[in-house]
Amino acid sequence: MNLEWQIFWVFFKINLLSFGGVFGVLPELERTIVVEHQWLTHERFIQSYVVSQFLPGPNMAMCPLIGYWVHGWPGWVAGFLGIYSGPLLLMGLAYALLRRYGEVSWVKRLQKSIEPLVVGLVAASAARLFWLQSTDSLAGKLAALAITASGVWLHRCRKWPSLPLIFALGIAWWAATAALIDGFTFM
Amino acid sequence: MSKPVPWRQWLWLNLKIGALSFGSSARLFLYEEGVVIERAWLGEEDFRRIFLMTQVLPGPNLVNLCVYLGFALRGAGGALAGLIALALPGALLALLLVFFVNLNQPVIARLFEGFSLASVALFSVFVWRMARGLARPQEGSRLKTVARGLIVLGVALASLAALPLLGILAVGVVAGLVAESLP
Repeated sequence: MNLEWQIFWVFFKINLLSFGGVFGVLPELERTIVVEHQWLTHERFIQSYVVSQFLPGPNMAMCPLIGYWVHGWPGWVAGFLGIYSGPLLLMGLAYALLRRYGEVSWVKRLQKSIEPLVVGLVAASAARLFWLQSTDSLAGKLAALAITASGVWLHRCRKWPSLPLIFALGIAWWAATAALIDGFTFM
Repeated sequence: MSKPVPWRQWLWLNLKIGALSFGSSARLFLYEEGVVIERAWLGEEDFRRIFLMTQVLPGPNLVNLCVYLGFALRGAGGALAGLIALALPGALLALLLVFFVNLNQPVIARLFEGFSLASVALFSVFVWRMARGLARPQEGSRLKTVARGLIVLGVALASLAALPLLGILAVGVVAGLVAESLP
């Protein structure tokens, strides 16, 4: 198998193993790429994850980047197609099936039954994201809680639109941490 | 959906989320905002069904939601075009970032931490709306609502305790079926 196909296949497989975001599959992805294929060093792999945290859009954007590091532009294309073709196939299948059988009573019942499960999972992922994104110290956690709460308030009570709110709070957080946590060490 | 969703608006929505939104899976609410609240392409209940389903199937959850909405709103072409508009900006920016920017600079790191926290805030509002939807007084007794609430709590705690996901999914589905069979 040539390298493009190998890269494609690694990411395609990762799709099928991933439930609820990149955190769950990170260990498996690292095992495949660093240990099994030895395409990247451990440090390089971690770096790709860090980069993906800075990117807009889906957080799987690290996959084309890994592809690029392994094999240049062909690798980038293989990584892109590998990670994103899976959802296209799977969701297409799900859409077709649900259109056909969506009104069958046990299918409807099953859909209702998974509701609390999914709400619980997304609630946990919100809590986990908060925990990961805030600094380790107590002051850091409290400051993060304050900025998150003010975000909720601005959105719900003041009707701020999402994207401007995200940018405004990003700048506010940078200013607050510079003053309170990092102790005025600008740059 | 009575009339088809305009191509330009569908692509623009995906491009906006793909190029301007930061903060990992907390971005899911942006689709609800774009599709249900701002444009009314789908009803609250339809979106809810789609959202729930895309989250239990494997795959990156933001991508799943985008692709399924694409199928529902504009067919296979809509799914493909939406996916490209969503995924391409990040994939290209990744290269620009590693070529040109030093990400270890504290200023940049803090800025993005802030973006993520703001997204978490918006995401919690979204989760709260989803949770509120579980308490539908018209269908079933208070007992059923309480049972659903307990499942949400149990699943959230189990997930935070990092119990194996497949186990949580299995138990969660069974518990859900039991809760639905309550009066």
